[in-house]
Amino acid sequence: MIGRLKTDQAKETEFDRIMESFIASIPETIGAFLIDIDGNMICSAWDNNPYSTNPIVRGLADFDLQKNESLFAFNIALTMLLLEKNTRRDTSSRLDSLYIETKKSKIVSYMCGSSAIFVAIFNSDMKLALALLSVRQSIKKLEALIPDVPKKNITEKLDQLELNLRKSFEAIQRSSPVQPMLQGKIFVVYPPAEFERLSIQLIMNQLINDNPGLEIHYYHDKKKKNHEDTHSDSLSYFLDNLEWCDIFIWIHTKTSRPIEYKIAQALRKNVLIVSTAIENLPKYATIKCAIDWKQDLTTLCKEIEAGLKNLVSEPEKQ
Amino acid sequence: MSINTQEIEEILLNYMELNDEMKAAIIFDQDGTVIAKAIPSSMSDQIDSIKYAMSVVSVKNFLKMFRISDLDQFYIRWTDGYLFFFQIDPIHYLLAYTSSDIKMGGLFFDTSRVKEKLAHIVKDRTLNSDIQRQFSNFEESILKSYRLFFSYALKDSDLFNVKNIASYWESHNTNVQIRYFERDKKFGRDIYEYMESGVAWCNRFIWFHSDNSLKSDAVQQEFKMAQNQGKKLFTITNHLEALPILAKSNKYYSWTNQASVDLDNLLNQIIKM
Repeated sequence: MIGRLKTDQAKETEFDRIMESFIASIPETIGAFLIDIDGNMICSAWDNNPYSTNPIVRGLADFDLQKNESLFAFNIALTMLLLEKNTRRDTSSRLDSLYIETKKSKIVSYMCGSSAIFVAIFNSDMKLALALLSVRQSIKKLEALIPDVPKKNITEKLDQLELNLRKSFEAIQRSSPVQPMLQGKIFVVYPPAEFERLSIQLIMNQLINDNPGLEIHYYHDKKKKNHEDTHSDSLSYFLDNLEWCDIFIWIHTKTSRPIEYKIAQALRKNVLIVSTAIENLPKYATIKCAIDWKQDLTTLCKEIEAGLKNLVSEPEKQ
Repeated sequence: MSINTQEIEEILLNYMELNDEMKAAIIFDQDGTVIAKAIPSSMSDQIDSIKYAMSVVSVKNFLKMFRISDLDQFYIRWTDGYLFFFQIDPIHYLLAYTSSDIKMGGLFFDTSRVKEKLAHIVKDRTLNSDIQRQFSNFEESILKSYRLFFSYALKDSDLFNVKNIASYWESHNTNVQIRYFERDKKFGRDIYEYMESGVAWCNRFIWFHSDNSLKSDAVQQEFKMAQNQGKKLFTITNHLEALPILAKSNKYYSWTNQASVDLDNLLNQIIKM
């Protein structure tokens, strides 16, 4: 079926003939349209076989494309203009075609000269090479016939749209930037006798769940072999893990052994101190990377994560 | 939210190594946020993910408007090469720059495997942009056409005189199109498909609110769809006291009796939203 033409009478017959020929040449064609670059429909044709079971055909029929031709033309022109404007790599390149693949259909849009767009919709059985050949042949014939049509000045208004979108995008970027995942090898040391009191297991679970990029070693980790299986004594366990880690988290209490911190410093490890008794922290321990203990474990974990991020991004603070 | 960008970059680098014609690969979302990229430094100033996001939304809008099913992938051919946009999930996209000598079969095969890995990594991310609404407003500002979707309980059809209102508005305004159930739901067509396509199509969602409509699952679903898609919502209610706060925060009209309704004025209020 051939759609209405908005051109002078002399060209209508020729448009009809070309479009009819195109539709007939590829059985998988659902519709073909010639649209000017400013969003006006020049001519259209589509397969209107009432016995067709293709869902796209049914969809287009339901949608009453003839009634919505101006909307269709506008949208495809807008899409092509946006792509032309937004994806140009350098001044010498020229937009040639757009190919869209969906679950049920394939859409090919070709520039037809510099002021028109030829659009063809096929069902998913269409063979791309055959379709492109047929499209190109039709375009050659159509180029000579493209008429002048009223302008809607989409291109001018696109700049304003882009400006508005850019503002809202920038606001979004500020509010929710993509945070690179924390990664690294962490060794956590605390007085073993205070494991329960400090809820170390809960803190470790939360840190591991929220940061899958972190590998964390700590004395009571049930999933791994503890030091008695792999190390002859506590000191060798401590030294091996200290050597292995990127960041050493020292959970400091009144019963902590300062030697742990001193060895880590001597090995030039990044150290994050989490202290339950910050007033008792040894004077030689830097307070730049010390976190005061919080009863709210979620808040505490967030602060530890923030501390780790600082150490990862700015290790010179140590 | 935090995401393993290093892992994604490694996947992208491996992806590029599979094909000599690949020039760059970028993962971005519909907000225009770059999640990760693998590009040569000479190309870094050409990357504008906001423009890519606009391109993607434009194509998606076009498909949605005409119900041509969901986007899978699209590519643009330039005189000097290709730009491929592969949908990873409804909000994330993989952009591949290639030369014009690319063999598409090989590229599509490699991409299908990479997409699976990427989808797994970004699956928990969500967006909060209103880009769809801005596109809709843009189209409206140029075309000046108004597409109204009537959502009502069938029991209220006579009460609100739905058919006559639609007929009056369409016949007196060439730029107004209306969809309503009793006329536009074709026999045999899936009701959910009708609802979904109608809501996607409209740029004004009109809810005929009543006690009956509050009990209608279909009406409730349509309202939620319209709200989620950022449609302009207008409520015509015959029971103002029972109007949900959500609808009250949008424009509404209190319907007392049919005789007192000035249809021209009502349409004017809807158009001016």
